[in-house]
Amino acid sequence: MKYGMLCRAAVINYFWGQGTATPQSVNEQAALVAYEALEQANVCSDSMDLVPRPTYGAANVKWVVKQVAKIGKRVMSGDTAIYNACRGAVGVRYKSKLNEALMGIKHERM
Amino acid sequence: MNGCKQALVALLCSLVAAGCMADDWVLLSYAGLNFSVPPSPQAMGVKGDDSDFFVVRYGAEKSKQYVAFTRFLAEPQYQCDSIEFVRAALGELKKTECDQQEVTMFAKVFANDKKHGLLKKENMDVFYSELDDSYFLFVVTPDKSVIKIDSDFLSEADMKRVIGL
Repeated sequence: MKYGMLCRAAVINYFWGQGTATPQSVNEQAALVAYEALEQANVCSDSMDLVPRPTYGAANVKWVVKQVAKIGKRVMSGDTAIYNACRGAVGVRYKSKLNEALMGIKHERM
Repeated sequence: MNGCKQALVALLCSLVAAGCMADDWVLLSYAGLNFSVPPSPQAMGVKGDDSDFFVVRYGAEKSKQYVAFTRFLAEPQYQCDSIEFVRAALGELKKTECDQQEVTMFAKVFANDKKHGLLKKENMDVFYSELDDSYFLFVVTPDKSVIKIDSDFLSEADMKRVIGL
């Protein structure tokens, strides 16, 4: 199993509770939602930048997925204190969006 | 059959009964209460966890154009039940057993500098919060629980219609 997948799942399970995601269930959309939630937590903390931002232009999906994995690595190492502010409230705010993304319901024309 | 599965069956039956009445909202029963959602969803899902998460999606893209129903369960760190917590964070409850930091942070996300308040429906309190990109309702039910209903695309008027106001 790829280490990045473990890290991304770690971020999601940290914010939304153990068992919310498995490494296999974290698709791109779920990673994007997690990043959006982390940005909100960043605003909530009123402190330093918790979430990296791209140096040039807008963030693309691959860049976001990579950043979420990096944050997941910090979470897995126990370095979570800076993400604690608003963790619960931000989790509630984005839970539906994240759950819907994780469910991966694809619309296909029959 | 748990609340979520009941909701799904009720919604499916309503969709069949609705037939060509495309403009009529669809009746939904969730956790023993009646709600309604816009017609013609693209997808629906039940997570099957403790929170009875149930989502109805209206677009083709994942996590967009949805309305979701969840049992809002108190987290251990709240140090109080979900009703008291929501009242403390979004209502006028000043004296509370709830953890003050958790209440403050919840209010920061859902209340401070945001349109929020209390609606009344048939003796039920419904706390609402309007964010930039979503709308939240926290329904205090007669059986002393809280249902969270949220959507990233329904308007305030639409959300009121969901709960029958």
